[in-house]
Amino acid sequence: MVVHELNLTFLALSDPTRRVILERLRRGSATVNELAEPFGISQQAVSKHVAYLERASLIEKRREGREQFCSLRVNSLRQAHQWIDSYRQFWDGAFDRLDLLLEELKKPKRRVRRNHGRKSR
Amino acid sequence: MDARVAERSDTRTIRIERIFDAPRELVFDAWTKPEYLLRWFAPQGCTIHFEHIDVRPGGRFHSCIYNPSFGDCWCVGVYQEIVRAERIAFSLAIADSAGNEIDAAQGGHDPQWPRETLVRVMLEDLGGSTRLTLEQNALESLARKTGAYPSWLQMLDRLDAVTRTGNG
Repeated sequence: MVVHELNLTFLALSDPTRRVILERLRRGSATVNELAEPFGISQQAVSKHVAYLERASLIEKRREGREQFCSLRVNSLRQAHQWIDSYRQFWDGAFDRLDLLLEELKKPKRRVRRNHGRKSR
Repeated sequence: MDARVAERSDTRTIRIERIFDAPRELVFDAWTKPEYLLRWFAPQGCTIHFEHIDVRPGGRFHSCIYNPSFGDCWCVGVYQEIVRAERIAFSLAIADSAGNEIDAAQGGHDPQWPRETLVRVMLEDLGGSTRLTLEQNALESLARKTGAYPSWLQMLDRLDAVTRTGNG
């Protein structure tokens, strides 16, 4: 489901084994066997991670003869970038108002001292 | 004032730096006193209302930002850390008027929005003025739940290099 795609992306990246797999795929596509090599864990265990990454749309598999090749999909990572802009706009707008409030908060203190000559505590 | 957006777009972390011409204590008050938050904690043209707010570590808030174009936007959050004049951290999630967390799409937002983010505010004394650094991170909030490591940020950095070269 679209709603959960982004969270799925983040969750997929939360596991160190999966990160190493993605790291490996940066250098080009690989079979599940090749992906399993550096870990010393079963091919089944790696297959599970591969399935997870596939569900999160971070990689795709394609069959060539008897071998299945995994490769990186970068579009889902691009999508994850989009939410950043909306949040940034929120803060920029709010900070403009914070600026105004701070200016106002600074003033009364000065006025009290100047106008009434009250000694500061 | 001087606004600088140093966005680490590669890591899904928003990082905004801004210098305010006011002492740190005052900026801190503006973030932690509800009567001040009411004055600024919403974009221009919007108003904010707190159904509930309890500014202390573990304390919760339930707020509604009214936007004339989009209507009500309810949020809930929990303060994670509050260190006077130095640091504030809180979670932020889209909610309904009853204070239940909801999916972004249910709240009428872009469905790609993460359900919950972690906002961290750091204040630095510049001798009369204050440098505020804000980081908002979807990954970190998830990382806390899943017990994962921030090393995935490095991972994303590298993946982003791939994204930029545009193969795929």
